[in-house]
Amino acid sequence: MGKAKEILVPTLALTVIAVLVAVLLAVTYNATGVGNIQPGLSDEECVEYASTVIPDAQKLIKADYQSGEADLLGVYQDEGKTGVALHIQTVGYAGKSSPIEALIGFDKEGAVTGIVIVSCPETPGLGTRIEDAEYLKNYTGVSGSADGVDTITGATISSTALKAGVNFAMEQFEAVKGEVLA
Amino acid sequence: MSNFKTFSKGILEENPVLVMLLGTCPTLATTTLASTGVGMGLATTFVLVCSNIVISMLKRVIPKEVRLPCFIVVIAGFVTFVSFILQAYIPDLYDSLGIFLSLIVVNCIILGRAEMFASKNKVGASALDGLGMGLGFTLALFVIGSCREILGFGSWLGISFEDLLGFWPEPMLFFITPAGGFFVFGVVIAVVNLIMRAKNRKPKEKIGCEGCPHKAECTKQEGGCDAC
Amino acid sequence: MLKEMLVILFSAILVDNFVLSKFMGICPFLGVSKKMDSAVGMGGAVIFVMLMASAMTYPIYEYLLVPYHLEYLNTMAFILVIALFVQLVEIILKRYIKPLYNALGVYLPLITTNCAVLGVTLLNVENEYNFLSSMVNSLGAGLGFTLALILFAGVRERVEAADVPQAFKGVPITLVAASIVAVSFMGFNGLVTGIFG
Repeated sequence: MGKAKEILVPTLALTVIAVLVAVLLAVTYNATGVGNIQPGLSDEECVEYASTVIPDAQKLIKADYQSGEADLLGVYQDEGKTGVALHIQTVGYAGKSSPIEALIGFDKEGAVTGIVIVSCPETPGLGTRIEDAEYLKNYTGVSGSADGVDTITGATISSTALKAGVNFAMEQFEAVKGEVLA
Repeated sequence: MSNFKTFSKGILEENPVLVMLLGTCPTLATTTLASTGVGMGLATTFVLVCSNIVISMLKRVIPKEVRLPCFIVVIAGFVTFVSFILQAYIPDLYDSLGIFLSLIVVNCIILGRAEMFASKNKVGASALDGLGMGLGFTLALFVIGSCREILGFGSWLGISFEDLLGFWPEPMLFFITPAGGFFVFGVVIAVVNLIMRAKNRKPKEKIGCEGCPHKAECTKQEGGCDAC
Repeated sequence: MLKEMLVILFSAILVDNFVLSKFMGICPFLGVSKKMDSAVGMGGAVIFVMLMASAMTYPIYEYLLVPYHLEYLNTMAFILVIALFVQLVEIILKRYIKPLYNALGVYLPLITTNCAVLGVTLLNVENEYNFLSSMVNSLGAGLGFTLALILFAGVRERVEAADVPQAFKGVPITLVAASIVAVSFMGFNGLVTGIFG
């Protein structure tokens, strides 16, 4: 009896505590509604951001374009056909679960007109320096490939991720342009 | 020990980071900016106070054999709770703390206080002890975060000195890198040691043995803590 | 496939070294690096526990938490599994494999609160690694931890003998030395993508 009790009591105590904690967590999870938080931006917010990367745009709308590429989150076209903005994501230092998101504007010829980083879950002070307007200016006017743009010392992973994202956007631009700029 | 003493000892005299040398991982990882350091400190303080209260209440119920797993489950519960709250209401802080928010579970300050204080003392005293230790932790993170932000980023609490004063030397990026974190931490400890010597107290020679949750097990071994 | 595994392995060992660039497992890194043989013992124990922890948490996450949408309980489930497992291993080693217990036993209880172990299991989930990648990542993380520990133990044996200013004696100079070792690891940045990219 003593032996059985020695085993049973600790097991029960631990189980009861673990179950209690789990139940309380499930309740708070549903109460705070954390599970329903929509990651990412609304279309209106994206249009807002897109207007900052295509300086000549008249009226921006979300294009009805299905790419099948998981990293291309949306395409925003200008009704005046001056350019197009691609909403992309790219994996940086924070990993796959929280990628960097950016809107990249292109003119009709496929040259970058501007970049805005809309989500940057990178190391504060290090990786987040890719958001600097000064740095992002280096991309303006680049077309074809972004390989020539320098990365940032100390933020190599984040800035390389951004560069990969811009290159990806350039490829996607080629596929998109026939449909939304014609 | 008076209530005030229970509360205040954690802030300066027995500061968990600067004097006891515990919780070094978040101290280095979340102090690139002063504000993230404070965010981390306050999140940890909340978990520490809550877990100290609950563990102190449960101290007669928890069997000795499964003591540590029970403590850990309670702590993990509060950590997950904090991460829900931050995710729902302060998503920016949630993003910048990243994985270190979950890793509050294994912050040895929390388990150490559970083992050494909360499981032996009354609920009220445990809450005060947790609050003092938590604020001491926050203070340490704020100091280190401020040094790193000012030197490495040329700003403080997000306010750029260049914008404010019109001039500022080029920030030294080194201080935001991991290597800079170690360096600043070392210098801050050296300053604390100087102050302690001036007050005729002997600084800690070793990392974290005193407040370590495993002290009891370690000292049972041959050579005790020195075996490490 | 092989290339992908090698990238994960070497990234975890050198570029994203757990101790020197991710800041996980600093307590044992500073506490257990005074002597070379204890550094090796601690490193071995960490590699073993990391591999076992990843092997156990992967099925728990994939087949228990995900199907019921309980991903938010991962921190609690993982740390409970790790804590219980470490205690279990300690008891088994003590009873049946005495030599191994003498070599690793002291370090086992310290590993429960080593954030590198919980960290690696959480990172595996966060990066959506499959079982094999998870194991490779854990192996790399463990090896990286051991490498940093052993290198640093070598540095510290010299630092102990050095004549440093009074205020820096003990812990401060250890941290400054760690800073210099971390600088040397910054040199690995871009190495892995450079070779395999």
